[in-house]
Amino acid sequence: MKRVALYFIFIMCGILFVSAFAFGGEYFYGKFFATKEDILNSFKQSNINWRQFEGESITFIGNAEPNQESIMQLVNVFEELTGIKVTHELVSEENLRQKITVDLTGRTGIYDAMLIDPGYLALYDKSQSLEDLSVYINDPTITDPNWYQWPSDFPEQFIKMGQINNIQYGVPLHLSGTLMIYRKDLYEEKGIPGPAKTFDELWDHASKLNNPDEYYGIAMRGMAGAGLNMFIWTTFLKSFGGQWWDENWKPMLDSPEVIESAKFYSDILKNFGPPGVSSWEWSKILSGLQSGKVAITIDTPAFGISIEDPELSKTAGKWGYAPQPAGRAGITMDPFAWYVGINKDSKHKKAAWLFITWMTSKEVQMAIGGPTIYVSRLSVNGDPRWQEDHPWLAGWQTALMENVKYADPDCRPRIPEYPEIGNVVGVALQEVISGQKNAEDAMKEVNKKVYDILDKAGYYK
Amino acid sequence: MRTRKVEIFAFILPGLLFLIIFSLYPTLFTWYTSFRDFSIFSNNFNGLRNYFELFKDNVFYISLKNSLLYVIFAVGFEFIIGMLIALLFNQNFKGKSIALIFIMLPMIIPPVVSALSFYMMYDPTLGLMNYILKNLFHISGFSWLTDPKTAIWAVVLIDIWQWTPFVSLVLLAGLQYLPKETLEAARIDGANSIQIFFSITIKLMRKIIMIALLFRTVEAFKAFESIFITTKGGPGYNTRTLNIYAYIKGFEFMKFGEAATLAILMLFVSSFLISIFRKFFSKEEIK
Repeated sequence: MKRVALYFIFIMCGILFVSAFAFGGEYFYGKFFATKEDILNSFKQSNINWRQFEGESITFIGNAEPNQESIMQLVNVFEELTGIKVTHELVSEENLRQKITVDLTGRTGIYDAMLIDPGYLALYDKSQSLEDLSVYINDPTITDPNWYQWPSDFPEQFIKMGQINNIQYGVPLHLSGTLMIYRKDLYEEKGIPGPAKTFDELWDHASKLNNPDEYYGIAMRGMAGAGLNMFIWTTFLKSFGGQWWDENWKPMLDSPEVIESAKFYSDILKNFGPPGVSSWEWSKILSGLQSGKVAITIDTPAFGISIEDPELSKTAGKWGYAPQPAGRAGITMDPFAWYVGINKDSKHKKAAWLFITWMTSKEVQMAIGGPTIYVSRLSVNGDPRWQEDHPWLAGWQTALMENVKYADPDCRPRIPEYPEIGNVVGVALQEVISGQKNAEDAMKEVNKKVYDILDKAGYYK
Repeated sequence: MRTRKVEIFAFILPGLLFLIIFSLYPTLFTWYTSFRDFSIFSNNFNGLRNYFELFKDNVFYISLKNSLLYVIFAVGFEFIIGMLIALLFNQNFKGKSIALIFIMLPMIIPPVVSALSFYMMYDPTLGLMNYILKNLFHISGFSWLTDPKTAIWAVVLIDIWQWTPFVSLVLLAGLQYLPKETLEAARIDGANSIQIFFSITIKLMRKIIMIALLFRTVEAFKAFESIFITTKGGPGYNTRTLNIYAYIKGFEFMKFGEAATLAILMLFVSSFLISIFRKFFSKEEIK
């Protein structure tokens, strides 16, 4: 009996071992590079010596999302090109922030290149934790300007968002932010001519499309957080004509415009949103869109690839994309991108820079799939060949490029105190959405809190 | 005699070193940090400023209240239900060993997994809880985690589900070591089960009960996953306990000095709770 069991275990291990080889190890370089040699040759055409840091090793930390996972699968290309060994870690957003914080605060220089949330750049500028990348951009031995095409191939607002006080701390990996996404088929069904151009129209459309228990008119982020509900609501704050503070940094969250924007945001969700929307963050919104429970949202354009994939989404092919509605102050888009920067305590700064140029190169962005997995380069985004596989892409690109014109990098103010301010205001907004407070009380209270935070940080000396 | 002492010391040394490095040093460093303005870009001595700021912060008092609510209700229910389970398993019945395995299962599951599972079950549209309510009982569901009235209780329930088995195990051990003669004598004298339970059983199990409650109180005070994964402290501040607030201060605001201050205050509160327990459970004699 024992012997039989032993043989059985041995055979199972053998099967597992062999099947690992069957399923592993295929690399895919996208539709434009047939083999690894093709992509390597494209890199070799640039005017720099890729092998100048041969033998060095660097460590990169990023976010565990499909875009970056695709890039990391191509790391063997970089290693073969340069002879630099890359250790890469992709972790959740929470973990990412914690690990970077520990490394930068302790000045241990563990991570040479790292993914950065632009909302925290002001903090890192104050703590002098990151390298000024212009040193590397302007160094002809490590950057061939004709090949890298900086800044021309990147959208201007996204370049600016990677700067604090005009120092370039990061290169954008993506091009994202906010976009209005709506069910074209339901619009046709209800006879609504086109996507909402104003907030009044948005209210009207959400109410017409609200069919409780089957689908809900609108869903937007309610979960409290500097990068959660604040990511979307701050576009309302600005479009309604509100401001965070005046020229003397006195907060203006208790102004009628801001209160109105908070009231509108929470009322439209309370009336036409799904139950529990006050704690919805992007993953819940995405599954709401995919399962057909939500008709309109304002959230990240990155949803496109996931809601149009028939294997992932019940609603594939039914979506329309449009710029956000305009308020009395026009349209506001909250831009977002992950940036890659270099640790000031890194011992392999130039090698890290080569890795960054490789990661943000046209070749890699073409290889990982262009705008179906959103990337930062304008030339890659604008390539019409992607539409062959994805017919919805044309509408998506037009809408996104139009919305980007209204991008405001300071939608969420990029000061070192923003993480705390964002959390406190986010909680106040959530209290309004969940019905615990009315908009006026909540905004007046939180205005005082923001004043205290800025006071403690020395803004009123 | 000398060699005995050296031997003893040599055996204790590894454990002692571990405690010093991973327990004593971090505690002392946290204490030290609480007196500093320590963030990602500053590290200056700050005296008692952090403490004064915290006492002026109304969110601190809200968090304290939430922590106490969580502990009292979680541990309270865990004790009552745990005691009932222990009494049940103190007797013999068919299928007892299999039932015991199932009862113990929640304890073995990592807290993150149970928090995630409950998070999905609590979903108002797709979750199991509302599905059962709607289809079996024909009540419209609740927004468990987002309704300010239900959020904290939903979160306490996760703790109760996960740790009642622990309490019942400890209490069962206590029940099995009760002197049988005393109980039989009481029964012969005519006492009924309820009188026996309250006058004798509970009194004899005093120390064991104290151990179970103490362990659970300290752990419930530190509860993290059950809250962070489900509500992140929301809606509003409704489920923000001291521990969650310390995390937010440290890793969202990047203000480590203030987070350390919260941690030290938590240390004081839990020490206070422990001393209350010890006084309460050691003072009475068995009549």
